[in-house]
Amino acid sequence: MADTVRCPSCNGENEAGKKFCEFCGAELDKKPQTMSESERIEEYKCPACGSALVFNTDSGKLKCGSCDNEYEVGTIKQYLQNKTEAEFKWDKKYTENLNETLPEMTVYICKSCGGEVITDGTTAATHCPYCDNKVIIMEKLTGALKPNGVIPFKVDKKGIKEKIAEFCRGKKLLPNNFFSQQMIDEVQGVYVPVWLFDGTLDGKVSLDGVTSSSYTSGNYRYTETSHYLIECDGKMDFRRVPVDGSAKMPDDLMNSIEPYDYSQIVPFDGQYLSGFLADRYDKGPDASIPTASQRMMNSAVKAFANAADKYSSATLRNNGLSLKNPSVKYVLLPVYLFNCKYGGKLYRFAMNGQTGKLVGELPIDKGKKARAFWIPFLITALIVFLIVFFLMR
Amino acid sequence: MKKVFAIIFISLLLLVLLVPAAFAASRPSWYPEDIYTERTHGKNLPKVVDYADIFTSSEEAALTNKINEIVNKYGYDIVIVTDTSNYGLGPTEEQYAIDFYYYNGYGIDDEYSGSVIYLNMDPNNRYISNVGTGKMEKNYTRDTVNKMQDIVYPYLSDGQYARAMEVNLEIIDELTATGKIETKRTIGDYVTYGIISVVVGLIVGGINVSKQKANMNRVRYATYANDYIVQNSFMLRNINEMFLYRNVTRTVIETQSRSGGGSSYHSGMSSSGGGGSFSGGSRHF
Repeated sequence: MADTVRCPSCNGENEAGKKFCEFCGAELDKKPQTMSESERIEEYKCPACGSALVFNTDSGKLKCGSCDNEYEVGTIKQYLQNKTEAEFKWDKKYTENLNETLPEMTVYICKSCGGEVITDGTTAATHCPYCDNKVIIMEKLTGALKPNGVIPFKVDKKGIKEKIAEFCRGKKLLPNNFFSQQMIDEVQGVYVPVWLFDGTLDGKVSLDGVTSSSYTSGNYRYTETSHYLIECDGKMDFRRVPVDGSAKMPDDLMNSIEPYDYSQIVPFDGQYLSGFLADRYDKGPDASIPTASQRMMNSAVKAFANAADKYSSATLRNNGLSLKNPSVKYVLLPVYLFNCKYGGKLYRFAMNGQTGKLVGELPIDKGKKARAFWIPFLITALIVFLIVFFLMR
Repeated sequence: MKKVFAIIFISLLLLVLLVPAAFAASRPSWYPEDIYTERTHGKNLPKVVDYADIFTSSEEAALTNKINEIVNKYGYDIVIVTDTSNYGLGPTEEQYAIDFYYYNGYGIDDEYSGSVIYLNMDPNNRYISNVGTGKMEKNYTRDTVNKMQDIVYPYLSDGQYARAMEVNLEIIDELTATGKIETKRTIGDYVTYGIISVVVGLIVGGINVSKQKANMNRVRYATYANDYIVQNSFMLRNINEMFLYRNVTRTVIETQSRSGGGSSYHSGMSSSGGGGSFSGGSRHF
């Protein structure tokens, strides 16, 4: 078989030695690219069935020998591009806001879980807010990073009680008097260290789009499914995407009490710590970036998919977004932490100290659970039996 | 020439003689030559007529006794007839039963009230017809005929023809007395009801507990940052859509069919001779 030259523009095969492509007229490389038969077969796979595609000189398209689908050369090249991972390259300058340090502070270290909480020297930590351990050691701390801002606590003790009552409403499996007055009195307010990331996601996203329609003809129902390659180019700005910097604070709890109203952030001042504890961050901004980036990326991809709304489904094929103009700030967010033991298990709860949103897994009362099953079971079974008895005569 | 005329004459003669004979052979032996013959009450008519020869003599005797017992109780006639063909009598499959009852003069009272059970034992077209006439006509509704044949069908499909007829006569007894059929429930029926009730109850109970349990824990990891998108910052500079390929699948649209073979119901049927009114239906087995 004679050597061929592949057109760099349309991918069409031309006889070696030709200067211009016979299909699109583009200039061919001076040095001929020779292709063996196996290379031609390996190069392109049919998106529909995965079989090898062969260039059809009559139509100027790539044709699948198995399912007979034909594709434009340019389309298939774009479709079969290698999947690329999103870029998470953050300019190191993003931490330029983090440079001031705090004066000497008092730090309490839990001997059980290793948690460290800072106070202003007038507040004493009597137990660890994360594991409830009473053995806690006081030390002096210097050179701690100063937060850029803080959201002060807004919810007081009375507010906590009301929010707990609201939280328990409709929870039919909750043991009676689970939240005792004593526990409410011992609720500990903690400022949780949080990194707030800003940035812009910019670039291209490729999606696999599908439309389907069905119709009937004679005794058959026909379902037609069309597949498209959708390429979107755009950008989206994010502001203050939070990632908590405390390894002791469960991420799911912290995520669940979002959002905070960041317009109420005030510059940090030691007086806000009076009466509260402040957790010392042990996960720096570098360790938190992947979490923030992934959340931004998911939202951006979803927005692009929503833009292609005429498709019944649009799923990510290729993510070419990159993060631009990133920056980070270090803030303290107010959280009330509760720890309750029930049935030998420790249950943790967190309340947004600004909005009062309370989250946590509640224990289940076995007796109430049994009733929640057996009462509907018996009533339903009886009704169904009567219906069946009278209908199936 | 004479020979040709003789052949034509003989041919015509044979045609005239043989065609009615052939026609007669395509009708049952009891079928009248004149279908407009006036309807009269027959005398000493057998209650079980087994042309298909599917009953033993003792079965025939037992069925006859049972029929006589019911006939004496209510004064409405009953006949069981079996045959190996329905002779193409139509337009419905019950026509054989109707014509047999009508032309043989079954029926005791002035309205010739009664029930006919017909078993067509043609190997290619086995079915049972249940027909009511006179005062019994109103009892043979679509619902009662269906119930009757639902009960009898298992015996017929199992080849227990005498038992099937025995059960059918019991149903006719009940139908004549009450005007309806009360399906007798077996222990198996109650077990089925119980299983259905327990399964539905388990599903409802399970769903209720799952719903309540889900309400006890709303703690979730956040995977999106939708709350932190700067308002109106989403800019779609370009969107390019390229068609790749199309798939077309074809599925057959299912049509509903009754179990237990073909079933039909006909109401207000008339006998070929006119004058009689019948109601009933058939089911293949």
